[in-house]
Amino acid sequence: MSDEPIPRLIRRFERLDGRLVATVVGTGVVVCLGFIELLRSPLQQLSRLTIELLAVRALLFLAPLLVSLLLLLRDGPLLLADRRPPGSWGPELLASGLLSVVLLLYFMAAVIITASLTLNQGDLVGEVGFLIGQLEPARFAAALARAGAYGGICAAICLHQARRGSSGAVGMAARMARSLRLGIGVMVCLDLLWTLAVDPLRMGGN
Amino acid sequence: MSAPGATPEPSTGPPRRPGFQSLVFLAGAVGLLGVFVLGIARAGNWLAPSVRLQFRTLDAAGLQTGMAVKISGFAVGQVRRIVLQPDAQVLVELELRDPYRSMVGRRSRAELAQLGLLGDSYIAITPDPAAIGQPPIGDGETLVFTSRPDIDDLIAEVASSRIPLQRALSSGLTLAESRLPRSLDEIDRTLVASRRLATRLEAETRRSSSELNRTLGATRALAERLEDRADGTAADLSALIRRLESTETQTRPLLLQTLRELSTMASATNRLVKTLNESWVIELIERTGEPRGERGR
Repeated sequence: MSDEPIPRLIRRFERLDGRLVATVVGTGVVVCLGFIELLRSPLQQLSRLTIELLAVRALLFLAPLLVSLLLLLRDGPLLLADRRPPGSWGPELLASGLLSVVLLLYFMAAVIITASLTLNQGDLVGEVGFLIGQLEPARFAAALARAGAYGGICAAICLHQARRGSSGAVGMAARMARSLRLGIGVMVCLDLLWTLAVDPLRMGGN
Repeated sequence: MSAPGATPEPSTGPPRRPGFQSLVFLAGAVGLLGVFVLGIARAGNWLAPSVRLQFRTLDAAGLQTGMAVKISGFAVGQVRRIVLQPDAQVLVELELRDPYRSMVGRRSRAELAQLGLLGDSYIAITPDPAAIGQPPIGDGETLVFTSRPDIDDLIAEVASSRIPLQRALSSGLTLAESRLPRSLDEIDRTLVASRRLATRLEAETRRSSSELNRTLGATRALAERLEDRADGTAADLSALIRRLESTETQTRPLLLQTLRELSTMASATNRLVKTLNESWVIELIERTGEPRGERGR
């Protein structure tokens, strides 16, 4: 396997294929539909616009966590097979971060189009434009940054786990399970920290 | 291109390049990022020239960055920044799109408004008609902020007026329950009596009208008779006057003569009386008539 950073980056980006994008887009569609249904059923007093905005903004907050988890499930085994010293993890971390950002963009596009289609009143393009306009720039940038960071963290966890334990199928499975558990735990904790610490402070600045 | 999901073997293959599919999806992601940034920039009016205005208020409740700024209900900008000042006042910075700058003048006021009861809040700016044709308002100028009545106060006021209103309503209902049936009965009775009165009045009027017709006929006949009589009397009077005139013409010389004779006779009588007065017979008669005592003295 090549140790050059650029081929390693390219190798990672080659994994950005139709199936991965379809998985992310499908997840976005399903989560958005579920969220809209959840909002619409018990709270029928809410206006169509409110439901759309709630769905899009809430899912913008959840998106980094969801796409990073999808990326962890998809690329985790590959990274676990790659035993490298921590000093040479850079291309993998960067590639994972960038892939996570790319997936976030597809995820949000799927969410916005689904919300517009579900509660559409004729002008789909105008509605998509309106919903994109309702994304707050700071939150959008924060979501991109979080997606990149979570992707990198997931890759770091997998690469770290790859250096531990024994080789073989059983060891690989154990490392995979541990990576998933750790990845989910770390990302949920980071999300919680973000929610508790960073976002309220920014809101308080208003 | 390697199979998706499989670990590639770069050492044995040709020099690696990202696959076409990956490039397409990367380009798609870049395009999506561009669309998102463009959409956010358009919504935030980052691309349009704008002017910054500000106002101060004592209460930031209901204010939010990003909330719309409207003139006459039309979105013309948005709230950019809300800052708590050292003097505890709240400084709110607005961004107003340049084409609408000329509608805002120094007499414009900003106020917090809301769409309906549950709708979004926004900053409403009252237009200043005097500003049209004048130099536009400058960047960073301060508007006057007028706060709207607090919803809590309104609710408290409504709550305080609820009990008297309820009392008034209940007393009104009680009154209506007790008095309304009686009043309706009264009205019914009055209507029946009125109908009866109207019937009687109609009959009386019918009878009176026939009497009146008869009276009018008799009066007319009487008037005609009186007219005839008056005509006759007038003719008689004329004849009488004519006769009197002729009589006067005939008797006037006789009367004059008689008067003259009477005058002559009166003067003759006067002379006779005067003569008698001066005669001794009268003196004798006067002395005979005096009392005896007076004569002795």
